[in-house]
Order: sequence, then C-alpha cells, then structure tokens
Amino acid sequence: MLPLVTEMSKPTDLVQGTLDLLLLKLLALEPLHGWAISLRLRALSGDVLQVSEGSLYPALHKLEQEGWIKAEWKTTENNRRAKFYALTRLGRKQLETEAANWKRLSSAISHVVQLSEI
Amino acid sequence: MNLQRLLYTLPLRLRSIFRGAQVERELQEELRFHLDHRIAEGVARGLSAREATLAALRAMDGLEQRKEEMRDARRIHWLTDFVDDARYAIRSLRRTSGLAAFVVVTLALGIGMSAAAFSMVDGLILRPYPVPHSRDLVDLVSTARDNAFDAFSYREYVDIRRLAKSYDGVIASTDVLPVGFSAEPATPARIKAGMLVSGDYFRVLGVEPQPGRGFREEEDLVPGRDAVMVLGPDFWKHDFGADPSVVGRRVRLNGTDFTIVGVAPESFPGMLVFQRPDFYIPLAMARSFAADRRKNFFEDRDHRVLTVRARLKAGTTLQSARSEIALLAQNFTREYPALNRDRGAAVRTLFEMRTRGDFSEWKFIVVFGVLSLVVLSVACTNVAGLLLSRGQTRTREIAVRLAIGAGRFRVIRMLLTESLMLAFVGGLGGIAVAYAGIRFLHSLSVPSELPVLLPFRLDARVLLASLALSLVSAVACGLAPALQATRTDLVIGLKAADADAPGRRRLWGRNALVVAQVSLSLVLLTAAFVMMRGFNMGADAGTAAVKDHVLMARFDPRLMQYTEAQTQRFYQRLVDRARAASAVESAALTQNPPLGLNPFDRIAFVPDGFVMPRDREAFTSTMDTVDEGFFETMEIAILRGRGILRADSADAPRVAVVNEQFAKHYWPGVDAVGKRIRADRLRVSSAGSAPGAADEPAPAIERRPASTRRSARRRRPCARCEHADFRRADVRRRVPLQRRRRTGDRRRDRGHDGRRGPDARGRRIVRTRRVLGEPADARDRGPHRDRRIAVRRAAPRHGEGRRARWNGRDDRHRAGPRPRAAAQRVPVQRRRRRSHGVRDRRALAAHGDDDRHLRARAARRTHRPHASAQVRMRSPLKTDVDSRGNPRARR
Repeated sequence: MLPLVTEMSKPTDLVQGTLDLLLLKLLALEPLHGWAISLRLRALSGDVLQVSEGSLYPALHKLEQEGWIKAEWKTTENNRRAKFYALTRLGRKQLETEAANWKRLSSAISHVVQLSEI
Repeated sequence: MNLQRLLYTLPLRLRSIFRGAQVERELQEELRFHLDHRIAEGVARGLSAREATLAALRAMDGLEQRKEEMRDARRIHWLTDFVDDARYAIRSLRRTSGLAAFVVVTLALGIGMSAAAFSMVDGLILRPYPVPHSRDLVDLVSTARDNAFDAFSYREYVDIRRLAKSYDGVIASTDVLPVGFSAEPATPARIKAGMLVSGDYFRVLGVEPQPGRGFREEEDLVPGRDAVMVLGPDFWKHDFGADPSVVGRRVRLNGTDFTIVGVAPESFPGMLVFQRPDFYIPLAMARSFAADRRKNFFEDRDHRVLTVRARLKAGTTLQSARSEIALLAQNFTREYPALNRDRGAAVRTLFEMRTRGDFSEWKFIVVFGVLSLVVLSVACTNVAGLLLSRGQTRTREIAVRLAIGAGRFRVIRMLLTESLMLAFVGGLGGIAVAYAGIRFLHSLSVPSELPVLLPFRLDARVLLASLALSLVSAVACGLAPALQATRTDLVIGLKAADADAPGRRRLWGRNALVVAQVSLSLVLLTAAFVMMRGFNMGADAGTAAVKDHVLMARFDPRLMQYTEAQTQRFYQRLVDRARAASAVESAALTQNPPLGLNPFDRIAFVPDGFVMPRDREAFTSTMDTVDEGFFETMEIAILRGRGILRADSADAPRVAVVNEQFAKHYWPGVDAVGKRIRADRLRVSSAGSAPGAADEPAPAIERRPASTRRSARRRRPCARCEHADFRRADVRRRVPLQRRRRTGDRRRDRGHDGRRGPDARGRRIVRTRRVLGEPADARDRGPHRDRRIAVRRAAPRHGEGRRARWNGRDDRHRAGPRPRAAAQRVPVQRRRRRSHGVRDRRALAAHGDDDRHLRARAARRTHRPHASAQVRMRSPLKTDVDSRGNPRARR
C-alpha cells in the first residue's frame, strides 16, 4: 500500500506511516468526518501531498481499530449523518510518539542532505 | 498500556463480530457520504452528473478493494474466514457423509482411548492434592536400605515437627485403618475406614471443615483424652444424610465413644489416591485403634506407621529442606543407633511419591498411555490416508481456487478446517468413548477390606486433554493431505477434472502413510499379544491352591478389644463349629489366604547349613500362619514330610512347612525335612527349632513373595462347617465378621478337569478331594483376596449376587450364611466364595446322596447354598504371639 504520494513519489519507505501521523494530527485539532479530512489534507499540504481518497478510509478504519481514534455518528450542518472521528487518549500518546519519530527522522535526513551540499 | 488498549479495541472487535451487519451498513453510509460530496463538488466544477460520479469513483482507486481493506482493518477476518470455512466444510462433508462418519468413528476411538488413558495418568500421577497451595506440600520419608519411602514413628514425627525450620507446619497421618463403627451404641458395628491424623492436619492443609470445625491442636496432646472425630464428606452424605446436626453427636468407634466435631468439605476427599477416609481421629487416640499390641505407638521409635507431610515455608527451597532433614536423620542415627542404623530421611515431592519404584501401578498406566497414543496415531494415519484419496477427487476444485487467486496458505487453511471439523466431532465421540472407558474401569471392583476407589474420572482436565488431542489429530491427519492437495499442477488440474495428477511424490506420500499405519498396527498387535501372553502366564502361574468352592471370612477380634484368651477361644469355637457343619467339607484358619491382596508378613531367617553371603545377616521371606486344616482346605499338597498337625501347638516344638522353591534354594539336592531355620526374634522363634523343611508343618516360608504357596506358621484351629452353624456360632455374636468373600477366578474356573497338574514352575498341585459344584452363574469374579476364615462348600445357591457384604447396604444379594448374631456386634468386612464351575454340577449329580440332602436343604431355605463348603479361618497375627514374639498357647 502506498498511502501517500509525493511529487517525486520515490521514497516510499520513508513516507510509509506518515499518513497515520497526518491524520492523527488533523484530528487532534478537532473532530472531523472523512470528507472534511480529505479537504483539509488537500488544503493544508498545499497540494504537495496528494492523499489518494482510496487510501484515506482504510487508514481511518485502521486507526479506529487500533483504538487511537474513535468514531461517532453526528449530523452535519446540511443535516446529513456523517461519521466523525476524534482522537482518543491513546491516540494522543501515539501522536506524540509518531511526531517525535518523525522529527528525529526528518532532522537526520535534512542533516544528511545539507552535508552533501557543502 | 496493553490493558488500556484492550479497553478501546475489545468493544470494537466484539461489535464487528456480533453486530457485523450494522458495521457493514455504516461502512457503506460513510463511503456514500464521501462520494456524494465528491460528486457535488464535481458538478459544481461544471461536470455532468455522470462524469462527476465516474471521477469520484476513480478517485477511490477501486471502491470494492478499498471496502475489503476497510473490512480487513477490523482484524476479525481470521474468524469470519474460519466460520466460512467451517460452513463450507460441513457442506462438503455432508456430501461424503459415509467417509465422514467413518473418519469420525476412527478418531473417536483413538481420542477416547487416549483421553481415558490420560484420566488414569492424571489420577495416579499428575493430579495435585485437593488442598489450596498444594505445590508447597512435600512428603517427608524415612529412608532405609531397602525402602526409600518408609514411614516415620510417632516419636520421630514429634522430633521433626519440633526441630525442622523449613516448614509452616508438619502433619502426620496413618494409613486408613479398619474401624468398627456404630452410630448408636446398640447398633451392630460396621467396618469403616478411619484415619489417625495430627491435630494440625486440617489447619496446615488449609482445609476448613464445614459444618463444625477441624481439630484443635490441644486435642492431640494427651493420649486418650479427647475422643473427637471429623467426618469425611462422602461418609457424612451417605451415612448421615448430610445432616448438619451431626456435629456434637456421639458415635462409637471400636467400642469407645467419640464426639463428631466437624465434617471435612466436599472439596477434600482425602489425601490418598485410592481410598477415602470415612472419618479422621487425632493421633492421641491411637490406642483405641492400635493394630499391633506389641508396639507402643507413642513410645516406640521403630514403630513406623506415620505418613508425614509438610508445607514448605515461602522462600524455602526444596534443596535446603532436603539438607535439613538429612541432618535431622543423622541426629536420629547418632542418638538411637540401634533403631536408626542405616536410616536416613528425605523430602519428596508429590511426583516423586507417585512415581516411586515400589508403587508399580503408575508404570502400567504410563505404558497404557503410550500404547493408546500409538492407537491414536494409527487412527490418524488411517484418516490421513482417506483424506488424501479424497483430496485427489477435488483436484479440480482446488486448482480453480488457486487459479482465481487464493493463496496456497489460504487453501491449506480451508482444508485443515475440514479436518478440524472431523476431529472435533471425533473428539466429542471420543469423550463418550472415554466416559464409557472410565465407567468400565469403575465397574472393576477391587476386592479389599476397605473400599478402594479408582481415581479415574472425567473432569475438566480430561475434557481439556480430549480437546487438545482433537486439535493435534486434526493437524496430524489433515496437514499432509492438505499440503499434497495444494501442490497441484494448475494446468493439469484444470484440464482434467478428476485426473490423478501423476507424480511420484504423491504416490510416495501415500505409500509412506500405509507403511506407517501397518507398522504401527504391527507394533500394537505385538504389544497386545505379549501382554495377553504375560497375563495368561501370570494367571497360569497363579496359585497352587484350590480356587473354587471356598468361602472366606475375616474377623478381627482386636477391634472389639478382645483379650488374647478371648481371641483364642473365639477362633477355636468358630472353627470347631464350622467343621461340625454338614455342608462344610473342611475349614481352616489362616492369616492370609493364597492370592490375597494384603502383603504377607515377612520373616528374617537363617537357614541352617547354608553359607550366608558375607554382607548379609539373614534372608527375608514371606510367611503365613495357618492351622492344621489349611493344606487340606486349600488343597495344597504336601510333597514330603507332613503338614501342620493339631499337636503342633504353642507348647510343642516349633515346626514349619516351606515350599518347594524354598527347599530347593536353600538345601539343594538334600531332603529339607528335618532341616532347621533360625528366624528373627519376633515371630520366628516359633519356627526356629522346627523340623522345618518342605512339607513339614510349621511356619512355612516362602522365598518368593510372588509365588503362591502360603506358609503356615502356627497352629490354628480349622474345621469343616456348615453355613448355618457359622451363623449360629455364638462366638460370632461378639466378634465382627469383618469380611467374607468367595474366591473366584473366572478364567481359571475350570474345575478339576481343567486344572493343571504340576504347574509350570514345578509346584505340584494335587487335588485330592471331589467337591460338589455350584451353578456357573454363581461365580464370583473377584480376584482371590485374603483373609481369615475360608469355608469350602459344595453347592451355593442360584442367583447369588457377585459379592455380598454382610453388613453393607447391599445385603440384598447376600450369599451364604449371614452371621446374624455376630453382625450384631462385630462388623463383617467382607466375604467371598471361590468360584464354582459348571462342571461341578455334574459332580453334584454324581453325588446322589449328597445331592438329595443338599437339595432338600436348599428347598428349605431358598437363597442358601445347598451343599457343603470349606471354611478357612485365621486369626490376626498379633494375637498369636505374645510380647516376646512367642506364639501363645491356645487355651
């Protein structure tokens, strides 16, 4: 599965799992339903990260079954029932771990990238 | 952390499993919501509705695959797959129901047998003590040169309890003892199983008697002061109707009044494997139950009758406990060199106790367990062969499954599910088979003085074992066929529907199965054959003594606190009356009848003229004490010399009869008659100056414990008697008949014609007397058991129950004489009759006169034997011998 497609779409291993991080982060801000998440992803990442809508829902379900997010059916402003996802306590911890991991990883990589430019 | 996660995920999983439809609906709705918005967005951008829909679906990257991914995220597909597989398996097995039934039956037999074997292994070896924290309990044993599991004496127990620091409590108990019990002073005593235990027994074991209480420790302090008892749960239920008001009631044990203070809980049937004590009594009351008058329970350090157990302190290792007890044993040896020479002590775990070398039942059971596993593996190979051939008819199906993308593992899983279904149903059948097997084992009655319980039962542990066996056999019989089936060449499989894919490998697999099956079966056959042969040989080597038309009964006047003189008088009268009876051909007293279950007394002796090995002071042998009627009654021929005579009284020179083996071994090539034996200070004095030799009256000594001749040590009265007199014998009014039994060995019940002459081991068996017969249906199937009085009679009555107990509840089928008067006071333990062959009916007919006489009798009293019988009696050893070990004179 390739959850995230970058412009260059090469370093797949590296990006693997980052969709989880993005989703957790988005939901940490406020509870959202799937469609809103896909809009938010597009807007926030400035079209750099194009998340396939197909990958979005399996990823959300996975996070839900892991116990990191929980789902609740609520009505939207246009009066339709939608499944809203929100972060659980467990998810918050997971977010911290993943964010820390990501920071370590990206700083290490940018460090290497800068080295090579000197 | 994990727990917290479970808190979130478990409800979700459960919801996915039990509310699957709703979860699915929600999935659809969620996607619908997304697609609707996507389409609306597209339309807003100016696309047509159709184009917008297509774009939306394209963006999903394959809607159905995504749905599957989402379903997989639920993490329950293993379950849903399994359910699907199981459904499919049931459908496809129904199509081949004949094969399925055959497989199920095969597996049921294999699993059932193994489960039954497991219940035996469990009962004899694995099952822990029925007390809390049973792991901390260890057995303390005294070790001697020839016995690594000896008991302790009371004094030694007290010392250990005082000195040992490794334990949270040290408890002692005796074996179960036959005790004359009467609920009311006036009612006849019955023999019940009592056990003497230390005052802290229940406390240390962690058992809380309810209702009532356990013993207090001060109740076990002063000998003879506190006559209290605790009932066992079964006894309480059966004899007291589970009445809680028994606490405080007084009952009579061996003539002494005891107060019931409590009832042990249901969960505590006792610490023994084969027996359940009916009640517990403090050790301090030991005098009322002393079986051996020559020993003082409280004082004699070598009177080793106590089983000692201890609860290890938390943190104490077995190792340190072991070194501590070894040290204590060294002190004992130093302080009491005469009594404790070559004696140590050890700590043994339950497992060590149950697998001790001198307790051979477990070995048999383990062999049985291994054999039944072999049977199970034969069953599995058999089933595997069948499934393999079935797999070939499904080549096409499997090829199709593989071709449309099922993984090989997935197909194997499907096939294994099928064999799991088979094995599961087989396992259910196996439980039924195991249940039947265990029932059968329970139906085997072990003839013994106190009831013997086989500890085999169908409990949760056995069910669990059956389940495990089912799983194992599912894999064992399903894996090979599944692997083979999925190795199909797709092209060939698809093309030719039923083509047997040619391939040496497949053939090889099947051949291997057949080879395994045949060879295992062969092993089993051989084992069965060897066992049967061993059994036959053992049975043939059986006894030199007569086995039919013998009735035995056992008495123990000690229980009535008879004096020595009273005892002697009792036996004399008993045997005289027995002999006077017309239906009795002969009667004898003995201590232990041939083939009794009770061990014989052992005697240490030095045969004159035999060069002793340097390291031995004496040999030991088994022995028995009999009267002058013994050899005649048991039809044991005297080869040389004479048998025991009435004149061989306590005042006469001491004489012994030894068996042929003995004579040959110690005096090879010489006539043993007239040779002498010096025996140990205890009882052998009686044999000491005897013309001890083969065929001479007196203590007969048998060298090989397993052999069949019994020895006669001392004179005992013997008689021929008739049942009625037996019953009338007023002697018996006071002494309980502990036990009557008939001997009977169905196999060997061939009567005179089938009887072997000189048997394989060269023991001559000569039967001299014609005996009147009994109808065959009256045979007794119990093995020959022991004890004291044997009556030989000619014709028992029809329709007699297998075993009759004179004082039990099953008096209904009582056979033969019921010592009514006797039973008033002295409990009957058991009686038995040796079996009666059909053939004997002819003998009966031949004896015209007797026949008439007997039939007339029978007509007068239905349900009574109509012919003579032979009676053998014996008296308890201890009463025969005085404190110095000399035989007492009969007065």
